[in-house]
Amino acid sequence: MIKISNKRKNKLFKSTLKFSGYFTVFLIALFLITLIYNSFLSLSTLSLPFLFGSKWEPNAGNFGAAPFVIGTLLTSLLALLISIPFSLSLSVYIGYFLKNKKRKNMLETLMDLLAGIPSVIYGFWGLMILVPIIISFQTKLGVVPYGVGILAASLILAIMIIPYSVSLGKDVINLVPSDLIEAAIALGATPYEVVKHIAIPYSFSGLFAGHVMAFGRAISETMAVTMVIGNRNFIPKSLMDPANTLASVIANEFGEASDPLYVSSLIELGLILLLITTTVNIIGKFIVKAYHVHTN
Amino acid sequence: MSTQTREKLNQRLLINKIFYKLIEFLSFSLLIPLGLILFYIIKNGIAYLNLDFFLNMPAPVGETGGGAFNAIIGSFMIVGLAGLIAIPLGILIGIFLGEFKDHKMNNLTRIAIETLQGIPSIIYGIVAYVWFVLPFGNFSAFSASFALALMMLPMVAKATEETIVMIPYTLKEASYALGANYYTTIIKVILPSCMKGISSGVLIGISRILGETAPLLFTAFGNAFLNFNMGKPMNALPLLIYNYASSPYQEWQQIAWAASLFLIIIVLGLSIIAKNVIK
Amino acid sequence: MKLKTVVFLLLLTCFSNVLFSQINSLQAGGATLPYPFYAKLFQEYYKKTGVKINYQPIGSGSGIQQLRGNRIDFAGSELTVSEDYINTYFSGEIIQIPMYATGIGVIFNLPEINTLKLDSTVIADIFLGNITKWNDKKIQKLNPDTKLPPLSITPIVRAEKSGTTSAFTHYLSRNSILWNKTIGNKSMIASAITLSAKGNKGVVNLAEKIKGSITYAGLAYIDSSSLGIASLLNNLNNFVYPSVEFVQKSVKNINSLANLKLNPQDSNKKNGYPIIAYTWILIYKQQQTSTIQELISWMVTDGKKIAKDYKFIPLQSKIQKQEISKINITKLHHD
Repeated sequence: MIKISNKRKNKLFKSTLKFSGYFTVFLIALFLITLIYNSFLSLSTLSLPFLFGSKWEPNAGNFGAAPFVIGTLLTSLLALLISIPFSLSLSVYIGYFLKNKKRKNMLETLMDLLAGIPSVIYGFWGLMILVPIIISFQTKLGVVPYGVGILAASLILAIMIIPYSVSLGKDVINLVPSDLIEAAIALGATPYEVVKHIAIPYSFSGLFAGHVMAFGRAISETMAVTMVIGNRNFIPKSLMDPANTLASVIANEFGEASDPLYVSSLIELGLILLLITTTVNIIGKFIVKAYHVHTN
Repeated sequence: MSTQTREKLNQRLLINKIFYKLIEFLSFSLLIPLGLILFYIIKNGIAYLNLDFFLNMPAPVGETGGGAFNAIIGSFMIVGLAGLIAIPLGILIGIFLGEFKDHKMNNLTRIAIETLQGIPSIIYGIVAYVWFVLPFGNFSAFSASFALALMMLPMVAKATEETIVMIPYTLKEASYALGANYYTTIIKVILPSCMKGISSGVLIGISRILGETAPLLFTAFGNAFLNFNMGKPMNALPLLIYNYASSPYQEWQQIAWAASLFLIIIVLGLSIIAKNVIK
Repeated sequence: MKLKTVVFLLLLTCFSNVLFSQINSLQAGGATLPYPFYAKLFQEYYKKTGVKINYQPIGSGSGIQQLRGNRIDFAGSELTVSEDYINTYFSGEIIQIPMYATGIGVIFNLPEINTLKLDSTVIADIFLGNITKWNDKKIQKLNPDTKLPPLSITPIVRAEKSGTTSAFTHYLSRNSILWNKTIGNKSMIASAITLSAKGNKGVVNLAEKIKGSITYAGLAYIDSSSLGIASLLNNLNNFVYPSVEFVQKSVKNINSLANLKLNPQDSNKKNGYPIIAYTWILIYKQQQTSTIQELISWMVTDGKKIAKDYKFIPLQSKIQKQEISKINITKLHHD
């Protein structure tokens, strides 16, 4: 090794560390610039009508983001709604009720397992197992038995995002000050009343933030959704309809986009997706900061 | 106690009991989808997780005996390179975030890392395509590694920062008291005590990117053959699963189940190791 | 230090092969229609010559795009590109060589019904949403002896630009004025009432799951599926089943490249099957190498034996010769 003086080593090291900071910011900036630059064509020619355009017809040169923005928001909102009873129950159960270490570990491992399963495997399982179940359910209801569609995608998303809201939720419930709880118990409150009147109101912002982040996770999910959403580039009329999300249409069509406007429109869809997820994440982080949500 | 009060009390106790049972039920009912998922993957995959799967190359449609050899090697190579890129850089960033709290770039860097963490995986694929596939004129394993490295970066950086911030200042003081300079203190004293936290972040990061498919779609391209050249297209397990899963061929679906089982075992194994390392 | 050696060895492995292995390999991609056939073909070619042809079934549209940017050495496609398109989007002259032909079958998921008679008007109505139930009068009229269930029809199309779709829409456009006016002979069907999936395999996979569904795919895909196959009305008013024999009748009738290129024709033969797709190989004229030339001549000669197993029919040799002659044999450059 070349002999570098200690002073030099220090300086070099500190510079490297600072450089890594600058580099990261530079990387993100380059990221954003790449997306904006490559969607410039559609941004300039189509501009605002693109956002609200409901026609996506590459062959005819019509591009509109509405079907995908609606598809994304519908599936994510539905997934969030389905997940709330489960994630709240788990947060309260693990965070407050459960004193048994064994059961606690088991449920926490359950959460980790769910969070760790790769997206493409969720999609594969969804396509092979869940979709046939939905088909028979739809046949019994008398609606067109697509199987694939918003319902399938939302169900799988709900399972995928529960670990995210629970991981924050159980921590905030757990950290409700014990003197508040004990005071309530001393006044004769049942556990239900403690949860309803003390624990949840106190940790509400944390619970909310956890669900906001879960929502953000659902929005950005790609593979599992692509495999079960039915890939229809039109605004869905019902929850049983097939649809497409921002992420899944990019996954399907990016490889073959030919004319520059088509490519540009797809990248602009990516930009829109990025803006939505970043906004949602910022809201979540802001809530955590502003309300001094206590976690470990 | 008057009957009215007793009634009210019983009512409250009943509500409480219902509530508790409901919460318990909803919590454990999550076991059902997880059980279904794991059950079907194990049931359908275990039969085909055989020597053919590990050692054979993919076979054309309709032929038996196909395997995932090139995909397994490809996954490890792509993830390996991604780790090589993300781990040193991530650790440096984490140290910067933890140590240089008053530096003007600190907040901005933190925001950058948080933003990176929330980016949808398909966007990484697009950017890697624009930065590496377009200029170099071909698909490559390297472009895939780069996309995955970007995904892994925030996890390593955050794990490093969180760990280094928890190291008591006294350790640093002791090191300085013994005459060590900043560089030696951080590298030889502080970092080793952070190893647990950092490796936990690294393992979680690796297990996350092993299963990622979207960044590979426009970068790695896939390969029917075995390939060790990072500058050329390469096959990977998530790509294999994605391609085979939506096919109507029984042999391919069987391999997809086996590959899913294999991937889950590794991914879950890594995260279990990671969680236990923290303790 | 141990770490340093590990890192060094890793990097060495990663980049060392730049010097060695991948000299004899080609990157290719495109149509999913011939993929089962090509996968076997290229595997045999590798066994014979040691040259690795990595063909990825990304779809005709994607294949053309990647060829445009020279990111692959050749593209497989059932779509050909026009002179205008080449001049606008490609950086040089393109050679488009027709390789083989196969039939595109219309398949459906109805329990206990193996085959039905359908014509282009009915199919157009189905895919446009004008006929929504299987026991519709129009379908029953063509199949008086079959009991049709009151199931909803779910049409499935390809999610990406596809030559298979193109052959399908050409058939519908030729014979259904309504279709011609609404969707036309496009390579992608954008419709509010259809489901879509990627690749020939994707649509078949989805159709197998959804009762009452109907879709279209290449012969190699439909024979191995459990779905019912339709006999289609050709322009001589016969209902023809998509067997290799009847597809061959239509193919034998083609004797000019110009006919092939942009407008797949009807059969003009009594028992000719009416939906034929041709698989093409597209390459930049300037990018040809001896490897590609050897590959292509092997594909049209030795490939014939394998083609049959996958329901692909060789074209008249004089047609292929016209395009292959554009490959300048004297201008070889070895890579």
